Amino acid sequence: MSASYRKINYVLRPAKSVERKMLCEAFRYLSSFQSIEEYQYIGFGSTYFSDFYLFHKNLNLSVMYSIEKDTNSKERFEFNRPFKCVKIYFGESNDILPTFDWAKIPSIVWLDYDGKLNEDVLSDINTVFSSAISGSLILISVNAETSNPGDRLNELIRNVGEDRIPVGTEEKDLNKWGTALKSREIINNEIEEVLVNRNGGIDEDEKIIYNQLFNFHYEDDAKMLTLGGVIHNESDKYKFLSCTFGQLDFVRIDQEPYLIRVPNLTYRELRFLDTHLPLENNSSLKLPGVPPGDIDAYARIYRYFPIFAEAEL
Amino acid sequence: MTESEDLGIINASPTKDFFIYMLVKDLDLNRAISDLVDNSIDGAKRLKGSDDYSNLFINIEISRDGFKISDNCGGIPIQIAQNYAFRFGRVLGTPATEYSVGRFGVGMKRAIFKLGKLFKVESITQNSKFVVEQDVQKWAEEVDNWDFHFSGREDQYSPNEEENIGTTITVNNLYPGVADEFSLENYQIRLRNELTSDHQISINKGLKIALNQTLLKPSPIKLVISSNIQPAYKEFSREGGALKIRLYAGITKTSDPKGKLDPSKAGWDVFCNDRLILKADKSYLTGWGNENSNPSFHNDYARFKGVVFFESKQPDLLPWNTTKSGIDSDLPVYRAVRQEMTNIMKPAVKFLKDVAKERRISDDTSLTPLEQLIDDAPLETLASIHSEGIFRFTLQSPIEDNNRVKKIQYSKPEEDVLKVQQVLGVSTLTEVGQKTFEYFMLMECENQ
Repeated sequence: MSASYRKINYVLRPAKSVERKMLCEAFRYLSSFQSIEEYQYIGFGSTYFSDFYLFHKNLNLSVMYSIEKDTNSKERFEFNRPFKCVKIYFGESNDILPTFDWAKIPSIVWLDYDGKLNEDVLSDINTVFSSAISGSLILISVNAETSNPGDRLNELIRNVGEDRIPVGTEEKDLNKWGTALKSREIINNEIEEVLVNRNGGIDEDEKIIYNQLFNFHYEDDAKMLTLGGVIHNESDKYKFLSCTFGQLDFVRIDQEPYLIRVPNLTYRELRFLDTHLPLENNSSLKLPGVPPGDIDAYARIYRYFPIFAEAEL
Repeated sequence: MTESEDLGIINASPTKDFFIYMLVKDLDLNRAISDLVDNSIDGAKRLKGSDDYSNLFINIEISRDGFKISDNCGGIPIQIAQNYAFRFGRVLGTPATEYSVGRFGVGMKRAIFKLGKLFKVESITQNSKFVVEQDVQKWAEEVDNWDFHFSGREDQYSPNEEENIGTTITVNNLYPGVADEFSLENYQIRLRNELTSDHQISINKGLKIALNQTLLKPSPIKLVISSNIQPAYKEFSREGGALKIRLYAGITKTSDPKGKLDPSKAGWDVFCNDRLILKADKSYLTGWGNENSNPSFHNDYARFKGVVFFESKQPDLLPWNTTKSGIDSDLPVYRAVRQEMTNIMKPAVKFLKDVAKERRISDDTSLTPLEQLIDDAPLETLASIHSEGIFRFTLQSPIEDNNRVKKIQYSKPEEDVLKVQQVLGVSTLTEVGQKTFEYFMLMECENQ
């Protein structure tokens, strides 16, 4: 979505890559609402379109929209468009999101920002949560890096406005992963208010409920938060329950995050570990010189683990 | 007095003073008169439904000496007068008028008390007739007796052909402030304008409202519509279908080609059962501002016009306050509609942002492409909008390409500028700037 695509190839962000694959797996569970191919996907593809590749190839999502704010390199983005079914809209997400047709089919939306939570992000959340229909899955990723000590609270106020700072928030709450925790709280407050508004005066059956499913913390170069879940109306409650998202061990329904930790292991080590996975109850693996924590981390994410290699193409 | 001797009882009964002097403080004079018009319109609805009021009239006369409103909208049956119409507050079991605008049971009394000290209500229906005449101060003196009295009453009455089947309310002995206002020509103009906006929809449905013998003439709300620019339109219902909502959001322009658009008219108009409740609102209430994730109103958005119609057979579902001058914004259903307004206005506001941006980077006074788009499109009434959709326009603004263009502006001594102008042999200052820049490019930046 922003010019950070020039600095880093998204594909090479290992934690992000793990997250993307986990989400892809979770999307499959939506089929209790509607067959997954019939969802529309809305994302910020940048020039790499990593999410678009993964979701089209794995899930056959084929109504796909990418919003790109860099209007000066239109040709480049069009050239990198991975599939015919991907349509690129150029402009700010604030301006583009309200123009989509949300009412016909449920959406999977990934508002994947590089920057920190700010009023523009909240504006997009407002649009999406007030427009997407029952069965939609919505994700928000924001940078949650701590800023300089002494400026943390001020920065948050500058970004989201005083009226959105949770009561009692102090500078010391914003250290380490504190910014991510506060960002989640502010996003949740926004979602709650939008839904109270949206639900005004409608029948009980039609009232929209939000169920948080994802609360990822990860860190490739900066601390990041990905938050999201499914919205559905009251009468679709049983469809939601029969999705059984709870089976996925990375699902988090409250403030407790799932930290994606990607250990550094050699190919030989990976191969060895793979032959012993999945682990049967409480058994453990050992490798000479490798911290047990790394092995444990790998065991949890091995199915999503990215392997990068240099190659002449 | 026996009750007050009972130590368990606390007196909480209302006083007449409260109704005569307190309640009226929250009501401005125009609103009081509009309230009386609402009562007449409710009569029209009972008589004819809510679509066509041809042949019905409401005449209002104001002067320093008195106030009079008369209509031919069906009159008040004696039963209703006796048991409901003069009560303070709506009584349980009051016969309902579908799509009514008089809902709170305070309008008529409050308006009368606002105006003066002596009132007379005369009403003729198809088969009955009554007159109530009252000196308010005398009534106030009798502390515990709340009754008014018929000064004339005919339960079986056949009106003759010259008589209007309707109601006439006269108020005399006006309060000094009211009498002063009524005598001012400028006040009469303001009242006329306000009544015209408040009741524009009913007037468009054929109702003839006259103030001091001159009919009110509304100009319907219009938006620009062409194949290249279309307003947003959305309709939906809430409260199990009992409350219908229609939303319009688009661009308007002045019909006077030399005129300038008046930003005070921009914003949202909110109607409840055809009655204007909020006019040209630019606040948080109608989706503007940070709290709604929208920009705050700015003169760049002077061309924005949004209209919401709430309609319900059950007026208690409508989000208005008792003076019908504002919104009961905490009502859940209003929050939901505000959310819709917030969303539906975004593309139109963004469009106007682009129009302003284009204007700022434009070098001359001729119309920019987006301005041209607005200029080319005719103004149409809301009645011509049938299909739902978001706000759309079909000219790709050249702004995006202009992102790479920068504007330079600087001041130099006049003497020097004229010298350069002469050497360049050009006539405008814009050309002086452009040519000197081009010269510098050629001499210093070639191959860079």
